[in-house]
Amino acid sequence: MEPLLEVKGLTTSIKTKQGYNNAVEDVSFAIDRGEILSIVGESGCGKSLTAHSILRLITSPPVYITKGEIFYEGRDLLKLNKHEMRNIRGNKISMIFQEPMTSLNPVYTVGKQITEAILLHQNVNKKEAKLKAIDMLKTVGIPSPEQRMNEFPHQLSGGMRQRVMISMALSCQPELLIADEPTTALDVTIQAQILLELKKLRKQFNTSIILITHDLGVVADMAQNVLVMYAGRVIEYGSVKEIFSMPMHPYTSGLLHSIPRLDQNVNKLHVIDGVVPDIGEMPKGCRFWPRCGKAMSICQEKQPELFELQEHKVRCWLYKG
Amino acid sequence: MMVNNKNDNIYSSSKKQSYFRDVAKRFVNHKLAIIGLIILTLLILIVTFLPMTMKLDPYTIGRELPYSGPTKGLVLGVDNAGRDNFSRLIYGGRVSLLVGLLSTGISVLIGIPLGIVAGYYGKTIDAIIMRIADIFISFPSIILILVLVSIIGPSMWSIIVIIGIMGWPEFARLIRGNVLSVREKEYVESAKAIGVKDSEIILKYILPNSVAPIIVAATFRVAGAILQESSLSFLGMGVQPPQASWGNMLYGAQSLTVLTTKQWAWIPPGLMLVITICCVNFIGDGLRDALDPRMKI
Repeated sequence: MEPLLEVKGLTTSIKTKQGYNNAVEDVSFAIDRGEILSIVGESGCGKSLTAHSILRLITSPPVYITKGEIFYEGRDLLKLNKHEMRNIRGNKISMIFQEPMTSLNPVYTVGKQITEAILLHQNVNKKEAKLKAIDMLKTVGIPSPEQRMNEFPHQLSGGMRQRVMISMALSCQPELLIADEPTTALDVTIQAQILLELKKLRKQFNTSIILITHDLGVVADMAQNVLVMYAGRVIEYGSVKEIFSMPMHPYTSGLLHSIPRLDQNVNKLHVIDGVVPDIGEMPKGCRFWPRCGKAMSICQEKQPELFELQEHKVRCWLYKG
Repeated sequence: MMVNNKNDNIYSSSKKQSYFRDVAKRFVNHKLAIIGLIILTLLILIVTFLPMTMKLDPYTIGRELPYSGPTKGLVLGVDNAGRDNFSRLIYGGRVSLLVGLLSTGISVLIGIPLGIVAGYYGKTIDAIIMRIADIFISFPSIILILVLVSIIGPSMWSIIVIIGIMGWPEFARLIRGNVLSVREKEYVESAKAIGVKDSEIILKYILPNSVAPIIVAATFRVAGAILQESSLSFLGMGVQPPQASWGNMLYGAQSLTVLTTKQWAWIPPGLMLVITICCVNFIGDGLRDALDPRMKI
């Protein structure tokens, strides 16, 4: 079966005085209907930029998509004109942003904003849209939605606002929802509720979700497939089961080891030394080798390809052949 | 500031709240602004209706000897041509307020669209519009206005138009700065992400979120325009007699003898100018505080 979205060799570059720096390089993945794919990685490794590139919500200049194809139901999104792209946004692909506190327009009531979103994408009149909006708020678990409709964003808590955002994104009934760290700014209890809502929605509407996060606990709980990114490159791609049970790339296993465990007595948390290299000063060869415990001489010389091992892809010289 | 929040907290959602209701509440709590608003409203009512009800006549010359003092019929005496000073004061108020409001209106109507377009689309359009604004600002405005007036010819309407056109860069700059920050806000991005059109983003997301400082700047601009009209009239390049304005009343009193001995000829228009401009500025202050959403009621 044809996947819903297929990204092939996506390269997004930032133009600087020195030339083009690839902030996202050769990223490929696919997502089926009803699938939850998770993109994980440290801050600044290109997760959000990948997501924004899919919707073409990048500001050029200085950011450009320089290579690659993004097929959505067989159509290349990168070849669409502005108008066609706008029809994709919301109708087909919708996005929830990191910052629920500032993602709503402060001058309108939340009810009005959701109603507008519904009117924009569904063929209904104002009254029906309003009822649908109330319904939508109920779906995402907001108590007394009729009242909340008349409130302004600043009168709601962070969790509520994120739910409103989700309800707006969903009121367009997208086939693919991109959630860019939807719970990062929220506390743990709210986080659990929001994730539960996302799961429910997936079940209800068979929505595909790209979940961007750096919380591996969330990944294990939600996703079927995982894409691990480092410094703009995909370094490991496979099913959650595979990657959690036998992480191959030293970076992935480092990440997994960094999770504090409750069932063991540890004095010191495991850390991966160093930071993601600056985009202008990427090391030659594998971008991870300066921080890698298993680095070999070839790592410093040549960039590894994405080696395919059964269902599991990994970009590391350890797995060549 | 007086705080009266017994009944109002963020949880009183049963009552339908709106942003503008909050603004109105904060404005009412600003005493000076309310005083300013009351006086200004009175002034507008007076200059609108008094001429009709009292059958004032500001144009007949030679009612008394030039610069005669107050008498029973002519409470503020007469001017250099023997015209009734009181009638001229009221009619002059019409001119001043009209010039202030209309020219500001023109400035805002030119400045806001240009500023929004410049800020939202950026790049070349931005550069072109803002350089034109710079050119406008870099001229000493009073000289330019003098030149333009001498070309077009002095009259109330030409002054309104000229002051209005000269005032747009201030608004364009102000709103452009706001648009630059607002267009990067997450809610604009998320609007784009659900496929909202550019025109709608500008009208529903950018404009309402960047317009508050404009309202404040506009009130101050009204005061500025009134003053500009007065200075022009004082220089003899503004509203021409026999039409009255506070500025040309002052122009008529432009000699040492008049200033020292005939105070009724120049104190009233000067005082009216001071009062009007203070009131307008107080209202501006009040609006600035009221429109700031961070101010709690």
